[in-house]
Amino acid sequence: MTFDLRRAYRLNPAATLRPEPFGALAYHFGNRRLSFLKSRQLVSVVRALESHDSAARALEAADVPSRQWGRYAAALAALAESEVIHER
Amino acid sequence: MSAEATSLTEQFKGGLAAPICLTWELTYACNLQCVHCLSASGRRDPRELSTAECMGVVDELERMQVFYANIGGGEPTLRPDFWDLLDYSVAHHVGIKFSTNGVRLDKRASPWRGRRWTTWLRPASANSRSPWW
Repeated sequence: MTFDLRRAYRLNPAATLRPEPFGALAYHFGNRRLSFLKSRQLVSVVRALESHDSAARALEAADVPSRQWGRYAAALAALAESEVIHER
Repeated sequence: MSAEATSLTEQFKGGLAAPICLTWELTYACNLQCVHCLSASGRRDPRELSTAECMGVVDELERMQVFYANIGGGEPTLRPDFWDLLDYSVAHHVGIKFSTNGVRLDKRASPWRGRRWTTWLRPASANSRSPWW
């Protein structure tokens, strides 16, 4: 699944994030899927999505180095696939 | 991300901040007598939690951010406050899955069918005898 960093996303209202020592657990109350957010910086990115007009801006806001954007795009794609985040 | 991700296995050794889900035997009362019953249910335990105590448990689960509870028993719909507790749990961000024999599912249950936050499990009860509770 490709993930378009130029688009705006947000945390799905049907999903919740629970802080964990490694990052966070995400649970979707509709499809009942559990996802792991394996770094605190990824959690910051997901929380920042709502207040930025693109995922790229959220990555910048969370101080993610540009060389890591590809990896983060893959992680965000997986979260979109699980409906933890969606376009707005 | 990679440096933290590679240590995920190590971090799991410390456990999670809270359970992902838990099993809650809301009542041992049951209107069937299935020979295969795992919990030897039938009679209501006189010590079972009151409505207020159950809501207190839900409050605690919400504080812990436990994602959902699997409610069983016994037959949970025998509790007169069962649907109210379901409403209360969902309003407090605790999803519910519950096991029922289906005998008492009526109009009160229908709004919940297929809704987010709840799942029904209806085990087969081929060996059930007549209700006696």
